[in-house]
Amino acid sequence: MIMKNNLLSLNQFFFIIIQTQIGIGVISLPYDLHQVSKQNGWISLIISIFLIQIIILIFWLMYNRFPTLNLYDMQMIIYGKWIGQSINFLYVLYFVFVGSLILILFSNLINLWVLPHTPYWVNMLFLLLSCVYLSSSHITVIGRIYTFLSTFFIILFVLLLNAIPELKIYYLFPIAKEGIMPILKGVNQSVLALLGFVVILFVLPVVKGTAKQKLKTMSGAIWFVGFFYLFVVFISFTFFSTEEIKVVPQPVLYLLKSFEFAVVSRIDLLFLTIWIMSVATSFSTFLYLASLGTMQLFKSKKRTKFVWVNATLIFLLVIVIDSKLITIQTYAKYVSNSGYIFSIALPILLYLVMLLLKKRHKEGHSS
Amino acid sequence: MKKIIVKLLTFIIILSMLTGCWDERPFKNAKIIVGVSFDQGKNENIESTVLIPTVQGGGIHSETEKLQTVTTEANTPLDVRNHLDIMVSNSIDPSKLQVILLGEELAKKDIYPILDVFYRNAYNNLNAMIAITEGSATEVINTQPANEANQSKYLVGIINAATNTTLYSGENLQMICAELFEPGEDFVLPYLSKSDENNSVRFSGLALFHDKNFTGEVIRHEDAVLLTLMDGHKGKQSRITRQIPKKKDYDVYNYVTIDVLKNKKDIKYQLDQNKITIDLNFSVRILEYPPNQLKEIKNIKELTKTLEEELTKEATSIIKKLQEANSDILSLGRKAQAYHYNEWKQMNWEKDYKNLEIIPNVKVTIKDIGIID
Repeated sequence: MIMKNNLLSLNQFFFIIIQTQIGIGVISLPYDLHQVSKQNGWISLIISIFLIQIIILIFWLMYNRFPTLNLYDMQMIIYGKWIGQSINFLYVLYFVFVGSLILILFSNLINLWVLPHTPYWVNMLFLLLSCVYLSSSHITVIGRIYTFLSTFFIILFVLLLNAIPELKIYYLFPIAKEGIMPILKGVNQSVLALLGFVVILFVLPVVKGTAKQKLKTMSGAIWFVGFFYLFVVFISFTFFSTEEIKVVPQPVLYLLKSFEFAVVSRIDLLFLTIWIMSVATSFSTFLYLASLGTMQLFKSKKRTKFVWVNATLIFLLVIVIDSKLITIQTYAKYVSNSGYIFSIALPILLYLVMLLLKKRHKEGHSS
Repeated sequence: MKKIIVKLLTFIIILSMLTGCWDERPFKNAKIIVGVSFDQGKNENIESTVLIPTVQGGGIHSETEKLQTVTTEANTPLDVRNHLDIMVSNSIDPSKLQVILLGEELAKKDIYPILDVFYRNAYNNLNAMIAITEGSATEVINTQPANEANQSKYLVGIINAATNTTLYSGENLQMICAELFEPGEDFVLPYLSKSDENNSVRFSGLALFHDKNFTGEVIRHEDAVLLTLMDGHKGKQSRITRQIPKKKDYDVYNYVTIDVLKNKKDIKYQLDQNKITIDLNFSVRILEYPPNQLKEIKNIKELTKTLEEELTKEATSIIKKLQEANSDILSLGRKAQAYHYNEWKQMNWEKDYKNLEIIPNVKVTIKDIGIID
C-alpha cells in the first residue's frame, strides 16, 4: 500500500498548508477587511483564526477515526456509493471553480500592475502550464517544492519591514467605535482569506508521524498564516490612513511602490514576482485535489491524465466567465462563499454523521 | 532520439514565450520626464512644464546630459501628456519622475485633481518629491544655476538637503497621501522660491496645507526645524541657532547653536477644558557657544533655561500660526479621535481647532558640550 518513502514529512505538511492558504488573497486582504470592519479588521482576523483552529480540530478528530483515508474515501464509506460519489463530484467542481477564480484574479492583477497590454489568456496559460507540471508530480515532490518556495516568505517579510518607520499607530484607534457588528462581518472576510485549510483533510493520511505531532503541525501552520496576515493587515492599516485605504484595493503593493532601494526601484514588482509563486502553489494544490477527486470518480490510477483534464476545464471556464456572462465580482463572491460549504459545513456534517453512526476504521481504535 | 527532439521543441517553444512582446517598453521609444511643474493657466486650465533629459555624445567621457524643457497648456495633467506627445519625438514616459512642482496659485485650489494621475497609474513613481513654489512653478523649474547641469537633480537635492537638516520631513508623493485624505490631519510641503541674484532656487520654508488646499501660510525656514521636530521627524542633523541674553558687546558672542539628538513628544488632552498640552523633550548637543563657560553646572543650567524659554516661545508662535491657517500638522485631530473618542465626538474639530488652547512646553537636556568646556 503506502510506502514509507512516499509519505510527507511533518515539515512538508506544514508548508503545504501555508502555501495553499497564502495566495491570491494576501494582497487585497487589508482592503477587503477595511471595507467591512474599518480599522478594527485585525480583531476580526484574530477571531477567525480561533474559529479555524476549532474547525481543524474537528478535521483531526475525523482523521483519528479513519487514519488511512482522505476526505473523498471517507465520504464514500460514510455516505455510501451514490451519495458519496455525488458529493465528491461537487468537491471536484468546487476545486475547479476555485482554480478558475484564482486564474482570473491573478491575470487581472498582473494586467493592472505589470503587463497592461498582454492578453489575459497568455498570463493565465503560463501559470496554468507550470502548475500542471507541478501538480502532476507526486505529493512528496509537491511538498518538497512548497518547502523550498517558502523560503521566499522571508523576503516578503523583510520587504514589508521597510514601512515600519512610516507607521502611525493611532490610525488603529478608536477601537470598536461602530459597535461589534462590523467586526463580526469582518470575520466573514478573513475566513474567506484563510480558506484552503481543507487541504488538510486530503493530505493528513499521507503524512509521517503520530496523530499528536500532526495536530501540532497543522495548528502551527494555521497560526503561522494567521500571524503573517495579521502582520500584513497591521502594516497596511497603520501606513494608510483610514480614508486613504478605502481607495487602494491592493494596499500591500501600493505601500511597497512608495519605497525605493538603490538597486531596485520598484519594490512592488519584486514583491509581485515572489507573490506569483504563492499563487501558483495554491493553484497547484487545488488542481491536485481536483485531479485526486476525478481519479476517484473514474476509478483510475493515472492522475496525470486528470490533471490535464481539469486544467483544460479550468481554462475553458475562465474563457466563458471572461466573456462577461457574469462579472468577476459576483463570480468571486459565489465561489468564495461556497467555500463555507465545502471547507466547513460538509466536513462538519460528515463528522456528525460519523458520530451518529459510530463509524470507525475497521482495524479498530488506532491512535 | 525522440526524447531529444521533444526536449528541443519544448525548449524552443519556451524560449519564444519569454520575449514578452506586448509590454516591452524600450528606452529608445520613450521620452523620460524627470521633473514636471503645474501652474494656474490663463483660461481656467493648467500650464505645465516638463523636463526631458537627453544624453548626447558617446564614449565614456564625452557624454553630456542635456535637459529639454517643454511648456504647454491643457485641461488636466494627463491632457498635458497628450499635448506633449505631439510636441516631442516619441511618447512621454513619467515612470522616472523625480520632482513635481506646484505653483502657489494652483495649490490654493484643490491639489488632488493634479496628483490623481500620479497615484492611479501603476507605472508612476510614487517616490517623487513634491513642492510648492512661490509665484510661478514654471519659472522655478526653468531656473538653472551655472554649476548645475540637471534641474531636477538640483531641485531634489535642495529638498533632500532640507530633509537631512530637519527642515523638512522628507515625505514623498505617497507619504503625504495618507494625510491628504484623512480628516483631522494635515501636511506641509517644501516651499521653494527663486532668488534672482544668482539665478538659483532656495528653500524658503514649509507651506501649510489644510485638507487638500494650500492655505497661503508659510512657516519661515528659521522655524521649519522646530516644526519638523514637533511633528516627530528628525533628519541627520537638526541645528538651531538662538540668541542668548547679552554677555558681550561683540554680537557674535551672543548666540548658541544646538543640535537636537533626540526628540520626544507627549500630548496631553484636556478636551473638556479645550486645552491641549504638548510636552517636547529635546536632548541636545552644544555645537557653538563662544562665551565658553560650560565648566560650571550653574552656567549649564542657566543656558538650559534660556533655551527652554526661547524654544517654548517659538513653538507657541508656530502653533498660533498653524491654528490661524487651520492646518493641523501635528495630527491633533486624528489623535483626539483615536484616543479621546467621546470628547472628540462632541466637538466640531474643523471649527473648534482654531479656538483650542494649545500649550507647548519644551524641555531641554544638554547631553554633550563638545570637546572643550
